[in-house]
Amino acid sequence: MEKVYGKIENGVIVNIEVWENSPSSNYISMENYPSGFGIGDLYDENTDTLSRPIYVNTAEDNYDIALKRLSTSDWTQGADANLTTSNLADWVTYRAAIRAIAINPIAGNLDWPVKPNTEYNT
Amino acid sequence: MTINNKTLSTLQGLVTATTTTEGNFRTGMNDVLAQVNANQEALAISVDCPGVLTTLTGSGSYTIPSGSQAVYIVASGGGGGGAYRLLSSGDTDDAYYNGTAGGNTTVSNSSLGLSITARGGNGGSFNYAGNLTGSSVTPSSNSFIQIGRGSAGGQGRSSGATNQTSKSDANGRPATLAGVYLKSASVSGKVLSYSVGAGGSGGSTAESGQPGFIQLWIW
Repeated sequence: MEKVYGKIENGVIVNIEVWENSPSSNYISMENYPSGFGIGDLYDENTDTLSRPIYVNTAEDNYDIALKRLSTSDWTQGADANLTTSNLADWVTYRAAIRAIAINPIAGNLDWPVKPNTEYNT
Repeated sequence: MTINNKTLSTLQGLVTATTTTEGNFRTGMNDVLAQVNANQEALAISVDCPGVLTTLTGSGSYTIPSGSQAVYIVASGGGGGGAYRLLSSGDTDDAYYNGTAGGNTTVSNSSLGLSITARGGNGGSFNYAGNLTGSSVTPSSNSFIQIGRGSAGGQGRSSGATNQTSKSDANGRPATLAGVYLKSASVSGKVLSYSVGAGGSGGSTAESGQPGFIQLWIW
């Protein structure tokens, strides 16, 4: 029965291959790792564990995130939002920072501006 | 058109002329026999159907049958796994689970100078996934590389909020197809070492890519 194995070189999965018979010792079997693995994953032979390198957002990822944060806070700029003056100013500052990212998106896992709480006029 | 590199009129002069000598007659007949033999050998290769047609789906080694005179090898990497996107309904960010790349399929034999690498397809991504480059075939004559024409990538999917439109490119990318035709008596009995790339894993519940394969046509 054919099974999927990961080929390990220097602690990194460099290929995933199909084998009918168990290959040499520098392979690990997919069936022993129910969460699966992929090329580029890191393998620690001492602990027999896998980890995936942290995904770094592309500029397009960050553009999408910024756009969504802007669109979901559009309501705060409406005349009938009924936010306190200081809270409205917080939202304006927040959205300006988000907008700056949307205009010039860069790659990386960004330290995003913190969304203000919502304070309404009583 | 020549007969053993001599023209027809030259051969007629050697063999059928009334004035030919025994030596010239023997030379001419040798030319004719050599040409007939060459013709028969060429016909044996060009007219016969392939003696073996097989598809390899697991890694290992394969011995080309003794007496073979040509082999056509086609290799496909594994397709990339599909991506999964969980659409959020509030102002939280969507969750992305990209697929992983399919494995590479390789075929090699050092004495034949043969080395094929067919790259697997990239894992699905909700941004542009692109195709994996770096496939290669040696020798390069009578060879081909077709990016994205190999095993299929897995189907991507999205779920969650229903009021959003999923972006494209969620599917895993198809693998690359690569191959070469070797016509030589030296292929006889050679052992091909090969590994077949597995399909990439789908992100979360998305579909995995299809595994690679190797097709052999042997004459």
